[in-house]
Amino acid sequence: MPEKYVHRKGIPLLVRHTGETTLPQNPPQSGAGPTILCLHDAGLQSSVFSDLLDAFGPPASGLSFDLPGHGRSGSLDAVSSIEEMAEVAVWIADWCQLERPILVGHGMGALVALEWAHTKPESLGGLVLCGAGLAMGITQETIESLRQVTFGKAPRPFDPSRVARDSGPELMKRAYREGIQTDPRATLVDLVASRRWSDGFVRGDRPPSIDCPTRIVCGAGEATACLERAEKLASALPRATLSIVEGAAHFLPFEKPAALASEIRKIAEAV
Amino acid sequence: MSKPKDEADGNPQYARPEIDWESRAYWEGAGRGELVLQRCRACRVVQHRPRGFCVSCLSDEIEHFVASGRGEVYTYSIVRQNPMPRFRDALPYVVAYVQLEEGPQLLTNIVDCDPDSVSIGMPVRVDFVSTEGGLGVPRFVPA
Amino acid sequence: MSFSGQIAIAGVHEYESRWAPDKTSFQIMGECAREALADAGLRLEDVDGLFGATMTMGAMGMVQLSEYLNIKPRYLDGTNIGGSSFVSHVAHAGAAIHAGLCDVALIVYGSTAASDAMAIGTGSAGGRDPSAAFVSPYGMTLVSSYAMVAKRHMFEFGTRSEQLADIAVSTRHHASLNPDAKMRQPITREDVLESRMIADPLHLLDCCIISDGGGAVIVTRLERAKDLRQPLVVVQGTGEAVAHREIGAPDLMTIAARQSGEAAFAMARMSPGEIDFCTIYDSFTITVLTTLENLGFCEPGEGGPFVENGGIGLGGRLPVNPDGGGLSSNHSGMRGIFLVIEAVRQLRGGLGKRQVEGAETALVHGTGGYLGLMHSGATLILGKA
Repeated sequence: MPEKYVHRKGIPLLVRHTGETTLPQNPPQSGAGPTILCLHDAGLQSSVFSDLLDAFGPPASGLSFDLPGHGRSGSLDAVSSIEEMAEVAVWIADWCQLERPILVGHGMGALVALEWAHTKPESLGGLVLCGAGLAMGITQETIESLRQVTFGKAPRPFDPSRVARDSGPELMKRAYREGIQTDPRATLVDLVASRRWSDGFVRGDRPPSIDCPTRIVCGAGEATACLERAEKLASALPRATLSIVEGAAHFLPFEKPAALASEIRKIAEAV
Repeated sequence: MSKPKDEADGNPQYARPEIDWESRAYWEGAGRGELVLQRCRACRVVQHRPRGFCVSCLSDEIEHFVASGRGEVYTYSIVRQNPMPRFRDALPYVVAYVQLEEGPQLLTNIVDCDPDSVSIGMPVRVDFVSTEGGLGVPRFVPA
Repeated sequence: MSFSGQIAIAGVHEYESRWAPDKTSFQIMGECAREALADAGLRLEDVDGLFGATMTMGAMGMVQLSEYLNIKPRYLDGTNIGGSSFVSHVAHAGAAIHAGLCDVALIVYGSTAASDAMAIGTGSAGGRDPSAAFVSPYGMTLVSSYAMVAKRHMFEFGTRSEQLADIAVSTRHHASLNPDAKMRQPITREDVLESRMIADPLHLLDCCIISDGGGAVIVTRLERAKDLRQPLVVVQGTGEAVAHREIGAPDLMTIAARQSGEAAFAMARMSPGEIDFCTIYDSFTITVLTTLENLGFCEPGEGGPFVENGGIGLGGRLPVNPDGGGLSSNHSGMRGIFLVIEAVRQLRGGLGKRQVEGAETALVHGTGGYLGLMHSGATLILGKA
């Protein structure tokens, strides 16, 4: 899948996209069909979406990118809030000349998508939010133990329940590999930012006035608390519907890319 | 410019090139059937092979453009011995430096003609073989 | 003669980012060179000595780096002794500058170790020769690289295969006088021209042999050497150079020997006419021919007539490779040490049938790499005390 670097404020951002390569200074070619823009989760990066982008083929097109400090993008501390992340996403979409993309937000990426939908609703084609919910379930304990990791006092944790049970060694290896490509300091910033933003959402700082076709997708293998949060999110958003995908957990984008792609197509048709 | 031919074109020596972030635009261009060169926006020098910055004036302002693909043979040799399996089956073949219209020379093969018919000064044009990964490798044919 | 107090560090730069996933290690080196030069208020054209080491550049690192930066330094030092290399490079640079072998030394380093580790199949491997991808699809063998230089030489100057063959003939004659040489059966011009073509226009007998071998050379102060066993052989002049693609616009007829020879002659305060014999890297016959032109023993394009009909044989106007060279005597991949050894042996005298009569001064020239792609040149002028 083609990759290129785009430079925003001197920081190189890695963009992956479907379709043909283009000269470095040119944006990817847009397809005739709908375009999706994938926003990755805390401590992860765009490589999580490579299978999904493969499954979402022509005439549609898709992009994903690494936020600053994540994956193979530059810098480490350029963004520290969901608001700033949304600004980066909007900038990328603009540079790539995307017209009303459908945002596919995974985990923290869903919050970025919601922030975008709140600030620039007219520039969106739709929302597909997976592995996400309000309040995110980030505890102070989680944050503190991650801080220990960044001090080198604890090894980076690997949570096998992020893929569905009985997933097999290949998916488990993939999950492990995806989890080690971003600096844990970026993960820490992500979790703090996510908690702060979703607290604000719950408080009503960000009124749930998002008015574009929205699909909440959740892997059936996610923990019950996650499923509940997804339901709450679905009921909080006016045009949202919820769908559960069997055989996947949090890493739905590469566990069941075809299923997620078809959820995205349903939103595309509703646009 | 022609779209790249399939690799199974009798040219097993064109394996997927090893790319890096400085050279990537060249190989991706070849995959699209385009000969991509670099020009410095500051000093206008056309450079090949690609770098992340201009080696004439050290500026970062490199832009990539699609070259005409036309040139002439500057020098060449007919390789008649090469034990590497990849090339052994293609013997005898022609290696050459082609002087491009835009200025730089590049190392290549001259194909689609009798090796003995190649001469210095012969006009040639670029042709591409596609490789895996959506990339390509340029070589030249008589114009 | 210590250079204490006589050498300065005029410019420095440290690459700010510790995470550069979009850069190659060569690019990092280039950018650091640019910034350090700016720090010093100097330009890339002022650099005439190149020092460097990385964990991933191979043995030809300084040649590749010169090509990458499009510079042609007259002093090279790719000494790689691990992480401390750059500390030693400062000392080497000091010695070189103090000895007048360069004025402005660039010491450089670059690495993408962190982003390489994170690449997991999606990124590029840093630190390989950045030109390799542009060469490997085309099957340019070592021979064909030299052959392309020969082809162009024939086109520009009318040089003929017979003239190249005569180099092989006289070198083989010398080998027949050297009991240690690998190939000692004399050959004729026809033998060379009828031997099978490897890469036009170079035949099998235009190419060096392959052998096993090794050598060592001891260098010390003149005063110390006076107390040792052998007749004195003194280093009068030295020169180093690189030649490469010059961003795709090279003159293939000018090789590194032009620059390194000029430096060596200047240092020795001598001219080609004062040289009694040469040991010249003879990977191929064309190498000898272009080297003689570039060293100034004859005009560009006159190499053919110069070597024809025994011109460079023992008893000719300028004996070359009296030991039988790499074409016939000894070539195990890197031949430079044998050039030095034979020159020294000849200057000491007593070599019997292959002794160059009245040998007082010698020129040694080594070529490393691909003549038609990128190569290094190193020249020594040696004399008797």
